[in-house]
Amino acid sequence: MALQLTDTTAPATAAPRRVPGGWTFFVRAPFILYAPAAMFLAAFFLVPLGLVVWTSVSEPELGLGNYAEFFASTYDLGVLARTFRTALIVTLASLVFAYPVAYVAARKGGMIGAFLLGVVALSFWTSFLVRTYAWMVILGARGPVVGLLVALGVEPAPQLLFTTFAATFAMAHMLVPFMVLALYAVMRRIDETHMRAAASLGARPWRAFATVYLPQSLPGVLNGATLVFITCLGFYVTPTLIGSPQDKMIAGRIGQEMEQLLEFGAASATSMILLAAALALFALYDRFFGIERMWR
Amino acid sequence: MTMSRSTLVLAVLVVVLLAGPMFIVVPMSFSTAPSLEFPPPGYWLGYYRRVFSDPNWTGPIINSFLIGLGTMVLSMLLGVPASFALARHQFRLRAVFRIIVLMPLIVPHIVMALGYYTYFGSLGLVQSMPGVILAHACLSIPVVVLTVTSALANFDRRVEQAAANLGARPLTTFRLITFPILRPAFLVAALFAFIHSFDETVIAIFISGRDSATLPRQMYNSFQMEADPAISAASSLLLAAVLAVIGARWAAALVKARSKPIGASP
Amino acid sequence: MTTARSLCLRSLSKSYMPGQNAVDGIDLDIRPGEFISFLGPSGSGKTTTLMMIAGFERPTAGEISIAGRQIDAVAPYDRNIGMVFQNYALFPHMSVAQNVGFPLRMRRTARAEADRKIATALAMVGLADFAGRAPKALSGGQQQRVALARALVFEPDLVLLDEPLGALDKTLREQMQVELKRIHRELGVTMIYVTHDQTEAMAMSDRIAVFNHGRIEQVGTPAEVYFAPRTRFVASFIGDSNLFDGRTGADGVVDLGPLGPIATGRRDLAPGQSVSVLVRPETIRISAQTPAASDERRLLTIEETVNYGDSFLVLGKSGGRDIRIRVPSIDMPDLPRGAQCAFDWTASRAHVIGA
Repeated sequence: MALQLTDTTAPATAAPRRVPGGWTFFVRAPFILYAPAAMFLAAFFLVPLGLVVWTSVSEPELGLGNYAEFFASTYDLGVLARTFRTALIVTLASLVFAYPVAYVAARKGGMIGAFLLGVVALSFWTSFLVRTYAWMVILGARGPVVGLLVALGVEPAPQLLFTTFAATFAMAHMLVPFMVLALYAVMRRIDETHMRAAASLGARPWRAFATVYLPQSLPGVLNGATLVFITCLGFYVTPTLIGSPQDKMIAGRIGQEMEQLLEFGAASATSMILLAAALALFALYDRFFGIERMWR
Repeated sequence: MTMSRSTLVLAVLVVVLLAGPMFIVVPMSFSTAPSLEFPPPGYWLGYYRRVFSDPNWTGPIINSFLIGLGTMVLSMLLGVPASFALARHQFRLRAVFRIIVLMPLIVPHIVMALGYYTYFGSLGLVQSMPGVILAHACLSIPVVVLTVTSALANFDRRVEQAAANLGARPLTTFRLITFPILRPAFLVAALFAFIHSFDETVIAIFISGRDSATLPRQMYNSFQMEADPAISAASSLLLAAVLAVIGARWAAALVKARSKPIGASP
Repeated sequence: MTTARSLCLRSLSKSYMPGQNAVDGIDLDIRPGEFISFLGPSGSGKTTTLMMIAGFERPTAGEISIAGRQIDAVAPYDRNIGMVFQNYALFPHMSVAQNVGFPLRMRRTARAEADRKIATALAMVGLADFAGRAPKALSGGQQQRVALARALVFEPDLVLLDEPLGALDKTLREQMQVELKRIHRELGVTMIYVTHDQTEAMAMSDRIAVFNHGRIEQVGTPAEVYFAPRTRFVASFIGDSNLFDGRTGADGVVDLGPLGPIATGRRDLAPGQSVSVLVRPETIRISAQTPAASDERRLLTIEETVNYGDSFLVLGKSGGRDIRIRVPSIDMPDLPRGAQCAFDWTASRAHVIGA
């Protein structure tokens, strides 16, 4: 029956952002907009990358010999395993440190939140090299940590530098800002009223956190973990400078094959394996979340 | 807002542990010891003098600036139009193009270093500035694209419609409306592109050199060879630069928060 | 004074997907100087039609002409049509004066003359002292008035308004409605006003075009669409309504089943047809006494009464049918829920639809 009440509520959300149909504002064909970048990247990015692919199956001779050698070599497989293991440790460690920071910044906000983010930003924008150098000093034989340990009576003076421990610790420290920013980006969108609702419904703080906040922060955790893990996989500078020369990570191995051993075929194959691992993880992430989410 | 004190303390602690280590480079830069000794035995400005006078250091610093500027210009020229294409248009190769544009962020730098080494080798671009600029531009384009497409996504196109309705032709609309409104995002994108190139280490290690060595490459070699403490001076300067930028932004935000908007009467 | 122009829409259609028409064959003649509203629910095609007139959407079929000149192929920046957007779309990086002066700048108006016109436009909307302000420093109502000034300053042929008052609160909205009417009277320019708020359309328009599912169901003066709606949709969309189904008999008497016959006076109706009869709630009277036994069709069982201050809405049932009645507060008898009372309507004010 026609007993509708007339609709006097305010209009719905903003007008759609669809490009007006059939009438674009600048160019009819977007070709001239994207073609330069596309051609540039093709010439100066895809070609060198393709060259690596090609080299991996053509040096020193055609075939999959380099790959066969990689998977047959216990050394190389050890490098791969170590890299994954280290990346996992780094990811977990940085998550443990980053979560409280992001949490306080997101929930408390205000001056303290801004301050925390400012310090994180400072770390984020300082180059890896500078921060690696800082760790070199701190963990060095004449640095404060060894000094402290010796003063506490540890004999003989332990060597902390040029160990896998040093590289792992430093990398975790350096990737915490990535993790914080990824977590924060998601956490700041968590509606504060949810926690209040949980409290009004009788949930104690820890319970409310575990059942309401934590699940909503998981996308941020996944974002950050993926980003940190993949970055750590390909990390060159820090492991090479302060990590163990015997226990290399995969990027260092590639560098070694390139510079010292001059085995470009092997280096290319190792690169491909590293790339495959990174791409696989990104593809997995993109399937679930869409890749640009990582940098939002 | 209820917040347990322990969380707060933990967070502050973490921050101290996060930023603290970096600041160790500052006292080191004034150290008199020729090697990595902490606490420093004495203080002088010698290493700063070296950074500013030794051509082994001044050269790379200038190179890094020039390469950074070149990268910035190139990646903006290529990346900004590409961002508009991605954000506003549908075209057949869009999905593929998007992947290609983002790939430099995904591929580990060491892999690209290997590629550039052989590729630029055959092109004669190794150890040359144009070579480094070309390589860095590839890495900075996705940074520019992400920044600009994000800004475009938040851009309300109705102001462009309004401009068109009021008589502005497409180019005029871009010049008078779109560009001014997007200018902050463009500046941020340009800054990111510059910094991305300035700090880039891995590829620079392998393909910059001699006349085109960048500052990161110089620092890296110094590590490896004699752990030249001038590194700490260079590092401190870089740290100071970052502090300055962040401090400036913070100050600007504070100033903005103080001055409230005028007149809110209906 | 601007030169008022007419607008003509012929068989105008727009479809985004094959088989689905957002706008489906619109024919409309808008007279010069008229204030006409496009009224309808969301998705009815009113905004799409407006966008086609402005030039931001290309029609799939049909024509648009202003003062006899076809404008389909004309780009939006050449159409000389003023437009006020829903969110005002003020240029954030320009001052109020620069915003209002923008169309004059596009038309290469000389500086002195432009300044004069800007001042006049701002004075007309009551913002003479706001020339130097930045848009974000203004309230919603003020921004809206700047948008209006900007759309009028270049003396357009036609002004389009896309739900401009939607973001304002009630008091402000009513004030702006009066303002808009005043400006329309002063300038005499043709105005097309899109809204989903029927009270707004009724209050402001010379004529209303009621949109539904991409078509115009009726075009008429507020009185026409209110008292003589042509379809059930129009009847129920505008104002409050009772729509009773019935069958036509002889001499324009319609049999409403359990509610009895109603003498509509429509002798032109052939008997035996299914029709709907519109009875506006304010044309029904109730009285506290129960009706005489012979008249049990006029017995109303009260289910709910709602007090609106100046009037009451009485919801009741008679003969199994829901009935809505509006009673001025001064005439409202004291009747609790569940009570029974008599009601009657003025048959001559009922309206037949669908014959």
